[in-house]
Amino acid sequence: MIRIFAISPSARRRGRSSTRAGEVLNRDNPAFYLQPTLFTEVDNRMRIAREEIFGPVAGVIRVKDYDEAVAVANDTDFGLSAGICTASLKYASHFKRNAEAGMVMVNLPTAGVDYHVPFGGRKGSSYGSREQGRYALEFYTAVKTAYTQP
Amino acid sequence: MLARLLWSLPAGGVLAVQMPDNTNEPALMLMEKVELKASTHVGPVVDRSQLDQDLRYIALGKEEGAKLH
Repeated sequence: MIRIFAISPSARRRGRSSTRAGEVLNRDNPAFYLQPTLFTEVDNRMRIAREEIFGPVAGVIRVKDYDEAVAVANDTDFGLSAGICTASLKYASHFKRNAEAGMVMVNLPTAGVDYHVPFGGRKGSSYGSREQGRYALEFYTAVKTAYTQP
Repeated sequence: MLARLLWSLPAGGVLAVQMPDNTNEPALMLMEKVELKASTHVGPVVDRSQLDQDLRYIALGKEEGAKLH
């Protein structure tokens, strides 16, 4: 979605945009662009933290330590993708095991996975099996049980 | 190296390779360049309602007391 809606950070670095966060960008081609928007002072009870925005809008929630960060990250009805930025293998390993999401990234964006790996989430972010990879066979299979009496 | 790893696999074995972050690779940079061209039509996957939804959330965030950057 960011690729569609927003001018990417690399483009902004190249000086193509002078608008401010949260503003619509008017460009020559017929599309809908929004300047990437970051909120701070966000509380996990706010709607912008609890609902899926599906656009280049992110919020920063201040926490006191790693344990609280994991608890806040998991305190959501959704669980498609989660990420951690760390140089600690201990925290990276713990987060991969304990993040309640279908995909976990370490020091990488939470969007985008290769086509050969399973794609999908937990809780309200997924239904049924995984797309892509070996699990796609199940995802695209309609199982039917049939009996015939001769 | 990949060939050596593949040959070392037992029968039926699987080799999984995780590629590093590739957002700065030429193919993706070219894709971004095309997206920004005036002649590029993004298509029907995005419509005005999605942009309006984002704007409503931005307004909501301000109302809820979050600080915009």
